[in-house]
Amino acid sequence: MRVDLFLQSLPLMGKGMLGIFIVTLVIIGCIALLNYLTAPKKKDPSEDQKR
Amino acid sequence: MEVLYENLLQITWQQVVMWAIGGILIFLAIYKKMEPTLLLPIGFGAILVNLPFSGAITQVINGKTEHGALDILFDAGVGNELFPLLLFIGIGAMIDFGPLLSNPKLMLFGAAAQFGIFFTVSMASLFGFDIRNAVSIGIIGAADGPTSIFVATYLNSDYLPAIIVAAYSYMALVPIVQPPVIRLLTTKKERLIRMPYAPKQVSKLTRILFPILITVIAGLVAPRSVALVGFLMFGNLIRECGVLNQLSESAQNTLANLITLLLGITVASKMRAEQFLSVETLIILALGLVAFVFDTAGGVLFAKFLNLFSKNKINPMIGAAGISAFPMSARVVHKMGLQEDNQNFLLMHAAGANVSGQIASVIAGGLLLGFIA
Repeated sequence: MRVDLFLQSLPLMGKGMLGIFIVTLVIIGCIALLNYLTAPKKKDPSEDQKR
Repeated sequence: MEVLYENLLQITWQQVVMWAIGGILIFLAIYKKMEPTLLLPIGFGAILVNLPFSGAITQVINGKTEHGALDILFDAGVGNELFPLLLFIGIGAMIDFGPLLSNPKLMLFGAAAQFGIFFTVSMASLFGFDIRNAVSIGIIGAADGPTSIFVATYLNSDYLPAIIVAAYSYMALVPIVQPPVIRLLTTKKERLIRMPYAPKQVSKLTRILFPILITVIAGLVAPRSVALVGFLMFGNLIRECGVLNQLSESAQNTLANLITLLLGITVASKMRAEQFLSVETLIILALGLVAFVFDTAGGVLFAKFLNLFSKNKINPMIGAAGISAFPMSARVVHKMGLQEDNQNFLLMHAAGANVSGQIASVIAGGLLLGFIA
């Protein structure tokens, strides 16, 4: 058992999980933005009333 | 007449063990339907390369090097990471990211379920593997064969065959590995949580821009794995663009089949008795199981954590689908949901988490390469 190697690897775990969550949040934000920008425009009900 | 039997005398017991291992892999592929596309060629290859003086692999005979076809294929397709990348075009073309685009929060489960990778890296380090090999072993937890091959090859791991056999075997064993872990970490009440599926409409433009966007983000964060993400997303772009349907079908079927056909038997070229039969192989197989168990645990526990703050409760089983094994993991979660309540349909949520696991596992591989390569 190499406890020294194990201890050396722990920061990798922290940095890795943190990195994945940061990238994931960026991607979620981008998808939300994409969905918002490309969503089909809703019809304005007042337009119908005018007609 | 000596030529008829002299080779028989060269057989070693280690080679016979490898034939048995090859036979077991073929048996599992045919009779247990465990990843037959990979395990069958690997099993056959294990027998092929462990015949005395096998001409399928490079040998030095009487001081003269005779190049074997499998080693040539390995250098041309696996040693330079080409086969996994080409396979990713096919996989990208197969994946519908619609459920994820409709509910992007599901991506969080894909991220959480990569915990097994990092936990296993630490466990492998504890067992004395150097960081290069520990990362290669940990990436079994990506639950994604091409990513495992890519990272282990990139890092020039000493244990590539064992890593690949473990990665594909546990992917096939997802329906056996995941349910006990999920049951252990959830209560019946949690497993009964219903999640109504109300998909938002996803525009074609979003579907087209998504693969490009992911490639750019992943490339900026983890440039070393950009080829992996890029090829996956290229396949998806071909699928979603709507003008390359024939190419999409070719990528999903012909290309993926051709690469798969060669990948298994090529990888087997490294399953030589003298390299494969070692204590390290057994440890790697055990660590592969650890990776899948902790991936599942990471996803489930993260979902439970989110439930502490969320008004609309999430069925924590969805978290387990965040591993990349697609689509097995989503199916497992869906089936478990139906077992608890035959009106609880979790498939689309689970599929969203599952495809996000595909992206997250590639990013995890890229980050690891960035950290240590």
